Amino acid sequence: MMKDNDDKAFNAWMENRRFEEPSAGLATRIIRAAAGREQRAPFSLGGFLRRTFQEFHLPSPAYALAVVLLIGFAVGANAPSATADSQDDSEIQTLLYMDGGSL
Amino acid sequence: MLSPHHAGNVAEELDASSQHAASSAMTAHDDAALLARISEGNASAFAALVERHNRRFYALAYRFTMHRQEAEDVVQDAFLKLWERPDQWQADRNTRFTTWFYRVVVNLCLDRKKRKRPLPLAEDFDMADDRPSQEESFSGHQQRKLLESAIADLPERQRVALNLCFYEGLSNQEAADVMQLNLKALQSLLMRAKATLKETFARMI
Repeated sequence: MMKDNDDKAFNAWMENRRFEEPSAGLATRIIRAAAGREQRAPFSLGGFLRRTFQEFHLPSPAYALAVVLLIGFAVGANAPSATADSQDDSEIQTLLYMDGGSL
Repeated sequence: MLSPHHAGNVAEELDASSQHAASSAMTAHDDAALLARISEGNASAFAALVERHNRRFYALAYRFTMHRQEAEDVVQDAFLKLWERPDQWQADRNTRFTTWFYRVVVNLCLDRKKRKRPLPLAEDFDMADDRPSQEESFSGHQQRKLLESAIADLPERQRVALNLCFYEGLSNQEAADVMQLNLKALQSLLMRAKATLKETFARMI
């Protein structure tokens, strides 16, 4: 009996918590705030590429991308195979050979 | 054997319970339909969803912030996130919209609390030491302040569990879903929260 009373008193105390009602116009405020915002589409590669091309205003994005890729491959294929490092190596070998020859 | 009177009561309870379950399922279905329209950019569906749920989510946010403006801001932020990225809620995950959105609101409240300095309390909120001497009798106002302080001192997860179950009236299973816990873990959090508060209450009386 005593415990029941304690439990009741405890529950009454718990229910005594402060609460303020929301402003009357809360829903309206949220709806108005949303009206000024655009929805964002979920991320997709296609969407990302589309937005990127829109940003750069390419006249025919698909063709432009293909042309850029072709140019890249062409440049890569025609580049001299000897790199700066291998040139350096051959110069060092020549120098060593010459040094060796003179010794 | 049930007396006719009891049998009648049980039948009424079952009827009320099934009606509640049916209306709850209907609401969940309506929410899903509204969200499908929101993801197509339908502003009136969004307005209907806000009108339907803003008060319940405000109540939850208020339990965490204890500040009307702050709670309203949290609810607004949560709904705006939903409007901007409706795909974040996925019907096929078998989670009710309200369960998922409770989680969003709770996370926003906890994030805000971590990020921001404490807001000024409402004007009627007295910051004086709440602990009275034993001779002092407690007024309702003092009891309320002590309750607020005791709840604020609870560990975060216990506070969330208490707010969801005791103050927002969610079932233990729903609260467990919101907190992404199993039922036993939630019950344990609730028991510990209540035990701590009972100790405070026992010291007070």
